[in-house]
Amino acid sequence: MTTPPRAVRKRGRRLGAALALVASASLLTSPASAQAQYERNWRYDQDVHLSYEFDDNVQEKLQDPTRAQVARISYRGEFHWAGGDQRLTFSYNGGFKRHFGVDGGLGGPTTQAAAEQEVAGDLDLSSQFVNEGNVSYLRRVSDDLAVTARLGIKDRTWTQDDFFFINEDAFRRYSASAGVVLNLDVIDPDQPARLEAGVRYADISFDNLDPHFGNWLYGGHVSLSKRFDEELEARWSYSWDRIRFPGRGVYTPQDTDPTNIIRGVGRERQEDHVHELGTELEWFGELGVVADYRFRFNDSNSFGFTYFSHNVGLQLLRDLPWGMFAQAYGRVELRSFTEPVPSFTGGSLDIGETENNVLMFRLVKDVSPDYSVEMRYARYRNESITLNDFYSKNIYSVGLTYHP
Amino acid sequence: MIGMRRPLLPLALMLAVGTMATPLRAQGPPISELERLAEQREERIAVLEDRLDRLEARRDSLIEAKRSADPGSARFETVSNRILENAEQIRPVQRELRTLREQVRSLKTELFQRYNLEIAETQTRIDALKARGLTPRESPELRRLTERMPELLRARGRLAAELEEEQDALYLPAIVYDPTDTARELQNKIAASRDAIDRIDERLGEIEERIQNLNRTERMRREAERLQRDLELWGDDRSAQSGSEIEAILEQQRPGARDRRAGANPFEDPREEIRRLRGRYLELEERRDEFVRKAALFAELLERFYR
Repeated sequence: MTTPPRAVRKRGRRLGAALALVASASLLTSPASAQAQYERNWRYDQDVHLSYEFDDNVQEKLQDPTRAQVARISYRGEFHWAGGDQRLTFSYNGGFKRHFGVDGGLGGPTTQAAAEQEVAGDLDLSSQFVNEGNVSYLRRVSDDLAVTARLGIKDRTWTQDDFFFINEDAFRRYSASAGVVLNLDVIDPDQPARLEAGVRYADISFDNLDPHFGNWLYGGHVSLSKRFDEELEARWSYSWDRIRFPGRGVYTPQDTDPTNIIRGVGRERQEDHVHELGTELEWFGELGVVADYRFRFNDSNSFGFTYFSHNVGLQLLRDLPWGMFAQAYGRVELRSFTEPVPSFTGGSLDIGETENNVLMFRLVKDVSPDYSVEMRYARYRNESITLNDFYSKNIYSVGLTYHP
Repeated sequence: MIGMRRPLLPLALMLAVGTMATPLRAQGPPISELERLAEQREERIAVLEDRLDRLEARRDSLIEAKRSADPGSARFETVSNRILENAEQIRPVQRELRTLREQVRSLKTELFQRYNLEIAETQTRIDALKARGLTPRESPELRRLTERMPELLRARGRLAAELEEEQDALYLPAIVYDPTDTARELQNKIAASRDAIDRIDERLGEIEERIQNLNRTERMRREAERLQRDLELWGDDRSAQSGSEIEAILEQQRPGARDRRAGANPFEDPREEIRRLRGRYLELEERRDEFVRKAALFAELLERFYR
């Protein structure tokens, strides 16, 4: 579970470079035109997206907010063969984030050296790479049955080995999942339906805060999707996950010092069971609407970590004249912790209710059949549980997409 | 399958009638006999289609030969006679094909209704056995019926798709030049060609609209998925904190959330459907050009006729 932090960081950079290289190579070596594949028994679909964004982070009680510039690239390639019965999907999502704009007063503890710099009002902020790669395989075994499998890796690495934000520590996450999809069209051909069931596993190690946050999980899900007409589809799902924190002891109502949870060598380890019930509606008419509601219950054996949450999301999409496309996205989470625990700055405990909200607007303009440019604005307002305060962030972004 | 609402209406009605007609017993030949008759006719249709293709290819080459021959020459006359013979051979084949296709269609419609009845009867019997507290383990009949049900549903689904496809097919007449055509016949052929052009135009419009709808849906799915993917990269959906990686993995694995664009439904491929429709569009455009040329040719012949 635990990996030496330095080794993780070095490997992280190498991994990022390798993933970016694979993404570029896939783009360059893939067939140039979809037309050429017209008569073939296979095809390769792909798109690549580049964006630059400016993050204006505002911690409401801090005078000097952290700001960041982010360059992102994402690539997705889908290789279909055997007449579409088999499909291999590669996706890469990565970015480089450069922080600036802090003279001091940063909210979370960093390293000793950084803390000294912070006090001196001369904080040299490091940058970070985030890389994520997934490979998925899908096979249609028959007209009624398909199987899927996915392997994924995600990594965050800071350019300076001794630097990290408490809320954005370097980490490496491995994940895998497998599932089956049953076609239920035969029951009612007018309203196609399908049943999905799957299992998953994930293991995440943090460089500096692994005892606090490192965890692994396994779980499963089942969902039923039904299409009512060409434009309307609904989905109902249930999932269960067991999350175990090997470095974290359980907290008890008798504990007066919250940091006990990371000291508890002889304590029982923290284990959460997450149950989630969800429903989602997709309507792709003249106006596209994607709405979802999820109810989650996190049942923890550690006092103060049990919570339930209501999560509502709404996405509106619409084609506009002159090859433009508009998108609005909003999400609200109302989370209630059932057991009160005093807050502290070095961990992730909180009390009472938190609200996590995001609102986003996106405008895309097609400049040619293969290229489009986009502008995006997003505003987040969250009750950050680590900073123990309201946290708002404005994001301004421009991007370019290539989708032959 | 979903987009063809109009062709599905009669099927839906048949389905509804079949479901409501539960107490009715199936009459007429058994399902296996109906299937045999349909198969027999389909085999004959395949043979005749082959023959028609050959005859039409010969007709085209004869027309070409006639164009290159001098009017009034012996070769011109011989080729004209051959064209006449060829037309005589084509007509009965076309007639028989039309009859056989109609028969197959009617047999399949009957089969569809019979499957409906069979499904309703099987379901009623299953319900009755279950109401008596029997389980498939205890009752061999219930086990047999439960196992048979998916087969019946599959067979009905297959027939529904075939019937729908046939309803979607556009009938275009074979308009052939005949040296003995009178002015009246030429006028009829011009009208038939123009009518075919109109019907092709109408179908082209429908296909275009369907492609546009599919593209729009595909685009919306893609953009919705892209936004979700972007949000997941930094765990931006919520406050940026270490714990959000747990959120991220839970989000990522949410059924259907990850792969809206293509993986959401492995049994449907909108891009493949768009590709198929584009192919059909090109095919119909070619047929349209052919009818435009024919209409122009017959108009020219008519003009010469009166000259």
